Amino acid sequence: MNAMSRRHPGAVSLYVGCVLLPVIWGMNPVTAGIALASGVTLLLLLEPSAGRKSLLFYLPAALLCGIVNPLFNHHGKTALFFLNGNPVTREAILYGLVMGMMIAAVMIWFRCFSAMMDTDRLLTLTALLSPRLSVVVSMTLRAIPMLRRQAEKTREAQKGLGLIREENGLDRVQGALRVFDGLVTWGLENGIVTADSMAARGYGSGKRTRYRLYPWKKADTRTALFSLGILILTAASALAGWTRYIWYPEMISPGLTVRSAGTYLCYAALSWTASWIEIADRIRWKRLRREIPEKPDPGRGTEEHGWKC
Amino acid sequence: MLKRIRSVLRWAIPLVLMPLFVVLGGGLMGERFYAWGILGMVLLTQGLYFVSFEKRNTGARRLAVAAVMTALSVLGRIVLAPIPGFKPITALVVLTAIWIGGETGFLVGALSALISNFFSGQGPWTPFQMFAWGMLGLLAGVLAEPLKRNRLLLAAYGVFAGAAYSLFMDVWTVLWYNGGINWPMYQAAVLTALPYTLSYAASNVVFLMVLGKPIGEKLHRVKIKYGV
Repeated sequence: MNAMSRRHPGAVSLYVGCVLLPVIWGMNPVTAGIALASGVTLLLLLEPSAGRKSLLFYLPAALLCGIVNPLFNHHGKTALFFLNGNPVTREAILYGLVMGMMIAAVMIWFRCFSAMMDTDRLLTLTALLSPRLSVVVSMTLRAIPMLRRQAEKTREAQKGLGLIREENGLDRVQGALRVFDGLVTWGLENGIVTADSMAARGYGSGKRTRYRLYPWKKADTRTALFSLGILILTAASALAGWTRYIWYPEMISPGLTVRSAGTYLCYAALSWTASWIEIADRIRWKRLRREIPEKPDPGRGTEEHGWKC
Repeated sequence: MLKRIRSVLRWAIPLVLMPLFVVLGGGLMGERFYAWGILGMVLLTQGLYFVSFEKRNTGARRLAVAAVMTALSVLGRIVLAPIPGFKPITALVVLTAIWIGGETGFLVGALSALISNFFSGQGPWTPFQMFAWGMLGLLAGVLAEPLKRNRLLLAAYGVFAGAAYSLFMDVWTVLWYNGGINWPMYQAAVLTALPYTLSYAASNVVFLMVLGKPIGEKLHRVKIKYGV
């Protein structure tokens, strides 16, 4: 449970989308670097131990991209050396490194997104598109553990009847197929019964009502507007060419002007927002926690100073 | 409120968002447009399908059958996780599409990818997998009659589906790592993915041949008995 996952799943998705879009369209080393650094910050906040381990995988993978790209890409005018008759150019290496940074940033942000989402929140998201779709997703999520349990029961029963032998590999495969066969029949029949039961209780007739597990709050509107605002600003800045890099045949950087620096600053503010929300939430929790007494002091009465801080 | 948003989306996606995407995307990204453009199109197509799914009058029974078939293919992917590339998802999607209908096949394919990735890892590839499996289902639904009658054709479709899935995901790999279409890189990706391609095709044929008859009969029976 983290601070961002208390927001509406729609707002969280919108936020992550607004952070990632400029990275994907940009091919801009500064944007990619900001996204990577803020993603690492957030990942280490959300999943301290698992996050550190996966960073050991993502970061070398990003470097690898810088090596692989010049092997396939021979654009660029500064040839460093020749390999199998093909030039390896400085531009292609730089492009590959930025690409690697971008890929690592997107992967890390996806990890963070998964840490802020679960299947309940997915249902809320699909319900935005179509409540009917949410019904199917929810039925599927319920059917997975149910079918798994039923498979175990079927296997036990068939084994008890002596229908499954486990002497060699072929027997095992045949046994698994027998169980699967029964499972499909049972699952389909069970699904039909569920559907009929739903229909009998009035599914699909009249107006749909729904229980909102994650209501849309004011903070969600703020997050959404802030994310969209900065996305539009970054897009406008890229369209105007203030932050546009040209890679081939020669790398041309737009340079650090007031306009590009302003864009980067706004983007940095957006991409560190989730980390900031998380940190602020923890500080607030610590402060509140300090005001809650540890436990009542058994030695003294409660009238005057019975509670210890 | 939500209903109004949905009805706006239903015409806004094909008429406004998709053209806007092409125009803006091309201007913003130049040569990198391919990666981003294809990702966006893949997302928008699915959004369009799911938004219009609400309007369609699909009965509760059909939804339940779709849910069960999705759950079975997700379960198959989890159980067979140790064997790379050997998964029953495509086979189950194709069988559902043949016997129940192409649209249900699309639904089962897309949802199998989305939900099973909660167990095996979500990533930027999720929309592509959803699209690939969904489309294989939709296409199988179109070819339902010949595929029902001829087992040889069914096996051939399995090979085709395995190859198509692998080649499509290789396009994604190249776009993702390179940003644009790069022919030598695509060839390299196809070559390194060859064991997977073969494994996909082989598993599709095996599962279609082994499960084709029993599952086909069951789905057919459900369709006749309950009028799904």
